[in-house]
Amino acid sequence: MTEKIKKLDKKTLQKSWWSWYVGNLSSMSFEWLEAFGFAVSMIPVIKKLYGGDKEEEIKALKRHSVFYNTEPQLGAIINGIMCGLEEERANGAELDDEVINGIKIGLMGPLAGIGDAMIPGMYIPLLLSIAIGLSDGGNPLGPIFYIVTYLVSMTSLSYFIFFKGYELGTKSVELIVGEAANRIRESFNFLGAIVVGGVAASYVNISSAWKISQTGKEVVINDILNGIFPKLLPLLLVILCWWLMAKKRMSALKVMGVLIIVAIVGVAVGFF
Amino acid sequence: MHITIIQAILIGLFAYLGSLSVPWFLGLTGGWYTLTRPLISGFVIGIILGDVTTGILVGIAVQVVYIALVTPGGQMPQDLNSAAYIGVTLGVIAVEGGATVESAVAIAVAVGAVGTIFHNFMMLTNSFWNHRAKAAIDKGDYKGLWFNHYVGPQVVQFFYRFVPTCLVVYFGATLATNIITYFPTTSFTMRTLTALGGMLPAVGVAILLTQVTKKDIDLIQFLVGFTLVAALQLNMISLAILGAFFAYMNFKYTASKPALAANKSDVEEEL
Repeated sequence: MTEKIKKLDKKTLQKSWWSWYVGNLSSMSFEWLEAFGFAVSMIPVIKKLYGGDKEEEIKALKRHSVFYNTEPQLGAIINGIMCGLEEERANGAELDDEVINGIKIGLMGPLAGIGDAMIPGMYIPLLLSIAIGLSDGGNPLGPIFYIVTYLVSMTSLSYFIFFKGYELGTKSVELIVGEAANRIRESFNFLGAIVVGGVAASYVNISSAWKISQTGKEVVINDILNGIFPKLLPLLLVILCWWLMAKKRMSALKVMGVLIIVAIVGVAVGFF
Repeated sequence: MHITIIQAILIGLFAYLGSLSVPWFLGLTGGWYTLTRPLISGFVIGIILGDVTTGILVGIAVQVVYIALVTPGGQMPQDLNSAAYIGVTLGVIAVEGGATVESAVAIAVAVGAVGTIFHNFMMLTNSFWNHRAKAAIDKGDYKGLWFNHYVGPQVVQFFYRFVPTCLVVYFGATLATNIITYFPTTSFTMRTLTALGGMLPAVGVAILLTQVTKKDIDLIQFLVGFTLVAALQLNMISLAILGAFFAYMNFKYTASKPALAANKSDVEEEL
């Protein structure tokens, strides 16, 4: 039986990307996370490739509804790769469930790690820092800047990377984990660390109310500290929190607990 | 400050739209990563309550605490959505009543800690819909799969987010307005909340630092940013431009290494 080659057209691929992009977490649970988000996004592809052959359709749906978890926005690249693989399979390539799932599961972990480090760990804080700067004094420019920049850049990136995944297959992952990507990531980290320094200087507020009376003259502790280095107390506080988390392996919640104690004791002894 | 039912409903709706898992506003990107950022929620709440400036000021202060919140695998140490909508709304009302912005931060963070319960409930109850979705797949029932992925979980999520936000905001408004009469600015409680709220952003900054620095010496980048603003009073945009320059230099001068390595492997291949 000779069949004509099955090809996913652009419209089907766009439908699949969109379904993933908006619906990836819709039915998230501890047990399945993004499993059904993935399955639902494959519906247009499955219908196009196996439409009519109910048994193959169910097999494909089952194949794509196993436990799945990755960073969804950059993870769209895996969806693209899967669309490409399903297309090859529908055209007779020997790709059984194990091979397809192996690739899927093998990619989701690294992409979850890198994706989380890149997007909520770096890109969002960077944009937010700039937006916070623009919002100084309550200016709505900041939120508007964030909304427009983030939505436009992330939507186009996710779309672009989905199609790269479809076109290039597993090789496309180089785009995210490759040498060039690593260097870009490091430079963004560099920028992020500088900018967040500015955020800390502007928005960590801690000052001492302590005064020492010496021979009739009143010495304000806070002025002395700021004379050594401007905003010395906020700086020391950030370093302390960083040290507790990075060196003492404390969770952020525990550090907040420490700060509650510091605040209570500080107010009680009149330091704040 | 009095809050009308309409205002409470609008805030509840945005809280739902911005919560994790909701697909209707560009999914994760537009909801969780945009609407639920406290800077954005402060802006939205400010518009709804008719005081954009206070909304944004409270939003910024709460935002810094959560600036680098990462939630891998849906694990949530703090429920950002309740902090961003319930917390920031109560904070804005308290600030209008005379409380400090710092105390509003402490209130929002406390709300965020309690709010994790809503998130964990959703993660548990969605299992029910997941099992039905699984059954639909076994039958090849696309409609059933679609329903149990989109409709069922979202109806439940709507109740988890809309109802508590709406109620707490509506009935908590009086308490928040009068917080300054119960706890005057000079009281121990209010001074502690203000001190705490001023310090909490340090946690957010420190989380980010642990993520962007690989070696301890990398802290120097943070120190440069801090110094430029604290000592030289640079504004954030100027700082971002200077930072971009350093980042670009960093990119440019680390370029030679991988290029060399690539050439080397090319040569090896030829041999």
